[in-house]
Amino acid sequence: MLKNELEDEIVDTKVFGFWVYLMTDLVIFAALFACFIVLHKNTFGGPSAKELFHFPTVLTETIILLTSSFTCSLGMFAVYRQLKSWAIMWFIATFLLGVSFLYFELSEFADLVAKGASWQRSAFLSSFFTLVGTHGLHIFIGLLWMIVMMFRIALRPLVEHSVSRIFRMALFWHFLDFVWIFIFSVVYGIGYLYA
Amino acid sequence: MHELSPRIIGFIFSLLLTILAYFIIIQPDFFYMNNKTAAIVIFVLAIIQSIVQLVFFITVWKEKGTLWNLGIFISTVSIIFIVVFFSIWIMNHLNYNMH
Repeated sequence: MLKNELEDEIVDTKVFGFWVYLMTDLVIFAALFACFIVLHKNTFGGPSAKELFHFPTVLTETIILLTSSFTCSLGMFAVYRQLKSWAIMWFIATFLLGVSFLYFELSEFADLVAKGASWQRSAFLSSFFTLVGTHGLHIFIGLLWMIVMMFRIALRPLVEHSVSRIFRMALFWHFLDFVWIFIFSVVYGIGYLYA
Repeated sequence: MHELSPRIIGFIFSLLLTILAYFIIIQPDFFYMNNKTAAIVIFVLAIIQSIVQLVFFITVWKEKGTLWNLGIFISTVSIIFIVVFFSIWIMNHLNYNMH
């Protein structure tokens, strides 16, 4: 009884520590958002958001990421129910959606660079690439983490501290989805209307 | 939160909000909005969407840790408000005075 309570507390403390990390990460993103909002009209004679953004791609990316957040949460559901193969299946789905998101994002970047709208062109594009690129880097690291966790589910029993590790990975993934909502609305939405 | 239904509800809500925001961005005239109203509506939709994510997917609000997790979240949101809002405010004034 006492041992269980202690274990519960350790798990809660770890989740809290990870949550604090996520909040500091949120502050980084907030600084990059502030930077983008301040600089988004400084196109230096180059192309503006109105000419560059391709909305079908952005909507596809958003729906892919929202769906991956959903499949990730289904994976977590399977982990709580000790359904190993279902959990791995849902995390593989999440992983594939994450990879396709990254593919769309990188091809969008390649397209922009090919049009001469690279990060060197203007302050608007520098801040755009920094913000969206930082998010993409987080996605990449999240994908690596997901691979490790899938092996962990396959090879180790799903005891409490194991579940907590997988929970933190899922939390990271939902957090990235949370940040993307603001990239979608502020960068591609308001940044586009006010270009 | 170890149930299935909140996850499905959260997913449906987030898809609906995204698609609505998408149509407002590409066709504000259809909704009888000028750019300013459209921007405000999109921002409000983003806030609703983020609350949907916080409630249905980011499940750190269980009995024991709630107070600490919520506390650090609220203080972070206030830091973010200070950073973003005051950056915009100050830089707009600087920009105005430069002309």
